[in-house]
Amino acid sequence: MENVSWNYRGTPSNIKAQRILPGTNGKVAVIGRSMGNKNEMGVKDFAAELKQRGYDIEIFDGDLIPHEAKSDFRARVKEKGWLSDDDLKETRIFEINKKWANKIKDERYTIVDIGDPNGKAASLFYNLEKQIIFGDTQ
Amino acid sequence: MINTSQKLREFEGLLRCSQFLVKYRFHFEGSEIARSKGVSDRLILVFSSPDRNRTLQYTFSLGSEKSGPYVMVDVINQNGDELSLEDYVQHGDLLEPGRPDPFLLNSYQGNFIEQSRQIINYVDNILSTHLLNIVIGYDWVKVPFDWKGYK
Repeated sequence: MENVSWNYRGTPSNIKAQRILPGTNGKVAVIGRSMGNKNEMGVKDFAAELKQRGYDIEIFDGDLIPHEAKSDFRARVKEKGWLSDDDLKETRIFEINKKWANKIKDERYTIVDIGDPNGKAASLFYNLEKQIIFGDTQ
Repeated sequence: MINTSQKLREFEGLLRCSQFLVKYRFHFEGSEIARSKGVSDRLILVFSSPDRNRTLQYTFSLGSEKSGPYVMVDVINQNGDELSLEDYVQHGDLLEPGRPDPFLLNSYQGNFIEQSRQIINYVDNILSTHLLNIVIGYDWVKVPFDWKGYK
């Protein structure tokens, strides 16, 4: 295994770690403003590259989110079109994201923050993670 | 004019006659109402085909004043992995440009029953074409959860 303190700095996706909170349990969590999709690189791409290099990676996505929480989120978006921060705070996903952020900090994961690689507007979810993990204020 | 509970019953009745569900022998397992603060109640209807190791979960809601009624559909495999039909359609670029959201009843012409029939036909069509191998248990695909830009 390569040294975690420098290896995260750059990957083929050209996303670079902006900061790292060293951990002790051998697992690595990645956070950032963009999760990534077919139009832009993000957390999922960075995490996939680290996984290929042998790291035990965890991100807040996919199977970590219960089906009913995803369904609840989709229903709210469907009904309102766009969710305000207050709306987002009512979602199950927000609550579960908060628990996950506390878990990776409490269980001493190494936490890699890729920042905002696509220059997007603020995200309540990402702000929450930064606040819990790094103590950032808004 | 039909009231709220009649609409839920009407939708359930129409769905249970879906050509796809009948043809591929998905049996009705039951229904429940999901309630959460800040969003309309949702009627969840579950159909399964044990031979195919697949469950289809339809969620129907009368929605908000803005959205009107809508439908969400998930395919669930024997491991509990789920595939959202809406995410699949979005991710696979299966939406026709300029076409209104096909999962909203108000995107279709006619009264409530006519709209319900059309949306059920739309879902039947996606299931029996693009997703057939997945729904009948031959294949599986992971589709990324659509964060809609919030994360």
